[in-house]
Amino acid sequence: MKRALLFLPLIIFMGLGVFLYKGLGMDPSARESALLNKPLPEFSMPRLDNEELKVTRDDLLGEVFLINVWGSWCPACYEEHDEILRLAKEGVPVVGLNYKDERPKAFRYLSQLGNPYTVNLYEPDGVRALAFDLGVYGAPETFLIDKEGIVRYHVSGEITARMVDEVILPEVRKWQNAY
Amino acid sequence: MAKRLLIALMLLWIAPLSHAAIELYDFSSEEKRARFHELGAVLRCPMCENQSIIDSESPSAFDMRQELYRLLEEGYTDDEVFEYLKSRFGEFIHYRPPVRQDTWLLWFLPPVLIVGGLLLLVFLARSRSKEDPPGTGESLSERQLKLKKILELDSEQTSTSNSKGSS
Repeated sequence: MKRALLFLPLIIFMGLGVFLYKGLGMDPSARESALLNKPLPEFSMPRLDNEELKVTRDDLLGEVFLINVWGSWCPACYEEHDEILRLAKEGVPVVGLNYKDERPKAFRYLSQLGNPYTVNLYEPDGVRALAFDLGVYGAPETFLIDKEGIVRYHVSGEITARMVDEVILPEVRKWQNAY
Repeated sequence: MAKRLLIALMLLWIAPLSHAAIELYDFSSEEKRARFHELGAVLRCPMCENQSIIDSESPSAFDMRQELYRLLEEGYTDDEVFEYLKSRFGEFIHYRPPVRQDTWLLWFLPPVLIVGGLLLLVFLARSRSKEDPPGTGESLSERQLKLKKILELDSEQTSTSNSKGSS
């Protein structure tokens, strides 16, 4: 009994070690969206390419699509851009949400890297519209919206080729076949 | 002179520290200003894990302050403010997590550990005093006699082992 008690600190230490080691591998900025399985918020926002034209929630609904939050200031957006292009090529509609950016810089980004977006919404610094209501706090972030306008999947951070093949495309197909 | 220069230098060092969240808000009442600072201190900046929206200079904390100001001016209660922000940014936004089944460990483990540690201390102190009671009823002379016997026994043994070794 006494002997076993001697090992108690070691056991506690090892438990703590495992716990902390697990914490090391976790990404503290990756967390589930509060909007998951909730309806996409209402909005009416100007298009990036035309201040005069407004896009509303109802304009987008009816098919499964992605909302990709991006900005020319965001390094990871450049990294994932090829994957967004590939998704568009696969026939997945991607709505761009240009976030805390400036129009000239955003135009340059799209003309240099290619434009995969069916339409781009514009939410510059100082405006709190759809991105704020979606709980966006950085870029890139990507949301999957189903036919009924419900948020079904969310990625905060860069999308990789592997994520596209293993999660995003299967999720898109799944919700396209639902209802 | 040198002292003055030093003080001036030290003040320069303080200046950037007091720079956080410097934008101006025109509150309609002092009560709202007080609540802005109160709530701003317990709302966590969504981008930076360990700063409140008052402390952080990140753009998303700025957005949060703007929104908090708007909500307070529109007459939202504290609970309504938390609900509004939680529905967008999740539980993460509030520094005080809710007491739920999956947060029990977070809330109750520290007090359990403290109480357990104290109990362990008491238990150890008691068992030690049982092993070695300070007063067993023997008088000082009795103890000294015992001690003497032990020492004699010891010296006898060493001398016998010594004689064995020499023979």
